[in-house]
Amino acid sequence: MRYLRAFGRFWWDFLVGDRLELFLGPIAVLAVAALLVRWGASGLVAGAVLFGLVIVTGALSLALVVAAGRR
Amino acid sequence: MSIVLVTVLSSFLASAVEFVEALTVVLAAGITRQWRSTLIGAGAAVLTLAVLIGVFGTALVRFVPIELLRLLVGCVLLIFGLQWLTKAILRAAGARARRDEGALYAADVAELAADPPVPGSGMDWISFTVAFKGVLLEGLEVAFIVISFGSTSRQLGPAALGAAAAAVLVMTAGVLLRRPLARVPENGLKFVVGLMLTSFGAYWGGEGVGIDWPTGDLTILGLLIGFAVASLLAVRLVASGRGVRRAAGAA
Repeated sequence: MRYLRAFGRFWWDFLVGDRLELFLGPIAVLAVAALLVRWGASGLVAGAVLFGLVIVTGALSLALVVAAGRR
Repeated sequence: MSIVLVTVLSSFLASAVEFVEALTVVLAAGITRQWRSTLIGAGAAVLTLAVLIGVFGTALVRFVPIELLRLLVGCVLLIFGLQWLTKAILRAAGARARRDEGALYAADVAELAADPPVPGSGMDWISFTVAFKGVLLEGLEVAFIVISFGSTSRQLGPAALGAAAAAVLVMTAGVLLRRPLARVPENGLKFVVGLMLTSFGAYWGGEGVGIDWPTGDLTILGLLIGFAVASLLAVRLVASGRGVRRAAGAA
């Protein structure tokens, strides 16, 4: 059980670390893009939304880090 | 630029950054304790990484449908790409300390010097373990990147070749110089690699969810330029925010 927990902890630190928003963000961005495609959005619109949401995810993460540094 | 060249370049740059970091640990163990055990440990880690890339890369290419592969790889590349990119932005803006290989090397040497003495003959397992762990942990992210790029573009060989070339170059330079490669512009490299990973991640992830990019492969270049502009803007914004706070603190 201890090894299993350590194994899980390793992968959590490796993929997520202290930036949960950068793990969940891309998953959410791709989910939104998938929904747009399913609802019939063109490649241009879905692609532009995906591009914009990736930037928003990065900006949000930077804002969180900067805000945490201020506290 | 052909997809082969881009794949090799991405793996090479990402690997170079990670292996510069691994080299610091290897040098500290080799110089402070015993070279033979250290090099065996580092070699064993490189071999482990090569097996991981070979087994998982081949399995992914053979058994996972390309659409699903692109979605998974796109998601992983976006996660890693944004992690690298935001870290590089914070460092470039001065909001986070840059990695100092010299200082890290000194800390590693001090820690290793406090360990039990090197045995008179045979393997020094402390050197072996430190080198193995250092190279494996730094190289694991590279393995993920190589597998991602290689499997999705069906260029596993060139991707592995790029990583191997970086490993040989960095390790040879370090062992010859006998000091950490403090002059390598690590943050600049991380910035470029972060941009490449994010752009390819967005492109392949988009294809994976069914986006039909209007300009085909050329879209990657557009995404790269777009993310680069946004990132440079972010550096300025974060840096100016720090400047404003400094001025307010001085007032």
